[in-house]
Amino acid sequence: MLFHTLDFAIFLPIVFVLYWFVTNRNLRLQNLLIVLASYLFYGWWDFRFLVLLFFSSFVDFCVGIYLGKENHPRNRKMLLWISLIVNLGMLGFFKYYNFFLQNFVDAFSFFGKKVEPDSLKIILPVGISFYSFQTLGYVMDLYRRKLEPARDFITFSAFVSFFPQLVAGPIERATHMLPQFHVKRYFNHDQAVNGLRQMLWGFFKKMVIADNCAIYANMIFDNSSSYAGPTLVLGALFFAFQIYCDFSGYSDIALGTARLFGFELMRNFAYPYFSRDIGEFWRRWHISLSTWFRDYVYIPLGGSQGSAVIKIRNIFIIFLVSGFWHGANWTFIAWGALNALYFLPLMLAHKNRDNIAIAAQGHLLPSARELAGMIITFSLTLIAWIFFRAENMQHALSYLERMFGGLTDPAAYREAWTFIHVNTGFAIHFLIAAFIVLEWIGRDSQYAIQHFSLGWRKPVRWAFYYSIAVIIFLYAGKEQQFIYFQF
Amino acid sequence: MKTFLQQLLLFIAGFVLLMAIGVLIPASRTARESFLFSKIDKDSLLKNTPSPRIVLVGGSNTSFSINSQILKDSLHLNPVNTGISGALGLLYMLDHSLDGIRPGDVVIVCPEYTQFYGDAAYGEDYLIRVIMETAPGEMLKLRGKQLSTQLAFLPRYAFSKFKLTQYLPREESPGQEATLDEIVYKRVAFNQYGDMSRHWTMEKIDVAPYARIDQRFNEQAIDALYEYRKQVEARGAKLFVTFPAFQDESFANQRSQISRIEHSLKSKGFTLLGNPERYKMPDELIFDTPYHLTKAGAQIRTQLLIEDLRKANSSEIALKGF
Repeated sequence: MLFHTLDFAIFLPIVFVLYWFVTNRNLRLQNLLIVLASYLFYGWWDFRFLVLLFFSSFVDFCVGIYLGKENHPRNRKMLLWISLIVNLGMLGFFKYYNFFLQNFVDAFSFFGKKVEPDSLKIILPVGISFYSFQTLGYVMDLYRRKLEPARDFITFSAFVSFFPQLVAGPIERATHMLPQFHVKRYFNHDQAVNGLRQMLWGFFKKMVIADNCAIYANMIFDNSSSYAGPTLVLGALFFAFQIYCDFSGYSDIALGTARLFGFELMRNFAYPYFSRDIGEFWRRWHISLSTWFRDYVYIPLGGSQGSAVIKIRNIFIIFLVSGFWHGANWTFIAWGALNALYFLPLMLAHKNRDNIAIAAQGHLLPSARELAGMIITFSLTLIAWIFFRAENMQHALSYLERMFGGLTDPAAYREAWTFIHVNTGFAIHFLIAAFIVLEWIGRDSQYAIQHFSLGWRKPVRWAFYYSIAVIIFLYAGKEQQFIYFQF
Repeated sequence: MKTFLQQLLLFIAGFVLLMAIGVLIPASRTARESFLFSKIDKDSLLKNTPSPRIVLVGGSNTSFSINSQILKDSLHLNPVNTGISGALGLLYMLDHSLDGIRPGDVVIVCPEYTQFYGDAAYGEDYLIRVIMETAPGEMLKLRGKQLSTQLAFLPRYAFSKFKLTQYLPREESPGQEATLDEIVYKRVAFNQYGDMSRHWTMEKIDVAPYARIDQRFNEQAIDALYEYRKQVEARGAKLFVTFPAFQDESFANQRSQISRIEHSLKSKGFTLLGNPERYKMPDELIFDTPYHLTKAGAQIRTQLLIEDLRKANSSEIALKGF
């Protein structure tokens, strides 16, 4: 079920009413409702996916119970391996089987051997990378004795399948989320209103900015050989806004929805495009995944301790794995490698933590140095996004070649202008500009409009919310699935 | 909780009120002049054109890619081209045309390939616009899935009435060229048979090909067509199904999805005119989208259709005047 559909608009109020008015006296019943609602939400795509979700939950629940009882290091390690094999095995099969098979065939044909194995028509279950990582994190925390195991399967299933964040995160930590399922929830007016406000902003980002940008990004990327440099820059810009608003919009809706049920999810985005260096960007982009890799992969590998060679190895591992997590395609690996290359100089010079606070904190405008940092970081990110969006490596490289090769031709700028005039119109550019301004003004808050209108009188504040709602319906682009569902 | 629900309901009530105001505002001048309003003229054509007739049912590919005068001269049938836009959805095109079908009519349905995938058959937001602004009572005639799809577009439709630019006359600026919307996609751009002919004197523009269709196949679209055939035949008319003219590069991208449609139509026993391959068109005959032809393209496509009709006629059925 997609958040921005009529199905969800019917589903959410029903679950809300049942949650607060029917099951509210019994915590276990309330958690059971969450499980049932979440399975319905997930099964809406394809009911067969539910088997995987249940299996993953069941295995990790059992592993957790045994980890809680077991003290022998060798047995504990074996239990951890069971969870790793099951979760990564499922992920490997559904997500990477055909990729490895194809590369295997290509490698053989390179050496003159023709192999024709059967590729499988595998449907990638939505969100498998997200819930697999969430349950894996739970088992690893248990293994490190940072957590007590869940004793109730319903509570654990509710934690794994909680519908607001099931299919595209944030990838929650059991240490943060499980305790919330163990205690009685009380309805909090301010929390719920805050949630609705965040949902509204999330819908705006997804339906207005992301879905409109998607149309033009697709148009340009799908026909990149027909366009010159400036139009290709435009395509990369559209994609940059598409992916940010698509994913952070989803996260906003997820966080807001969770608040309606009395839950606080972890923050997933913190204005990444205002980052002044690439280190800051990665602290602000897809935070739940970055910190997951940091805690469960990077630090166990030694993190930033040790020799320069070890540091470089660890950085490359974490970025390449992160790229590969996004999809079975060399373009994602290239995207990861490129980000590792961006990040390395900062880390080796011990400058990767120079910019911790948000840009221009306490000021209206950034300093020239901050502005330059933001522009450079955004430009580097833009180049990396081309790999992320391209169909394959050849497409990415030819896109970059045409883009940089065609920037000096004045006629090419006329083409870009014509593209704007004929295809996009000016409304979307105005909306993107307004969006950037609002994000800048609200950059101290968890989401841009969190505190934006709170000081205003109610009619004015409501008029502001109505305006956003009307703009959403009026300018919503053609409905697109959330990009990150495919990961 | 009580305060929260009260406030929420009040907010929603305000929103509904805004929507109701939007719905009640009469259609703007821009809307009334748009090609979607040609529905009124096409309904009248279907009602008043004398027999013997050839009725073309489809989306914009039907209106942009047929030269009805050639059909008339060759087949001695009076053409009625009901095509407006694929965004109205196949189900609406079929259900809406059915009332106008008479005994002896030759009905040719020519749906865009996308009609058989995803939810396209239920119509996009154009449908609610056309219905609400020309015949709101038709909302009650929509099928369940169509209705739910269209209701989701209701807020967008209602709020579009608040766009002030719709009510202002377009100012002619010397340096600024008029867009296609302002020249071609107009109610007055159709000829007396319902063909889009305004663009016949215009230069073609570069058209980016469509990518492959990634949505699920919609069996209901085939079922609706099957049901339509029964109804058409019950009215004493004859139904043929044909394939749209389509840019060859787009055709290559969607080949497997198109084959799936052809296979489904054959398995249901439809009388098919030609095959998809026959109606793919080179880029020089494509006007502004992969489904829209230039005048030369429309002539070629019409000739092909006539040949296929004659072939079908000689092998299947005797149609008066062929």
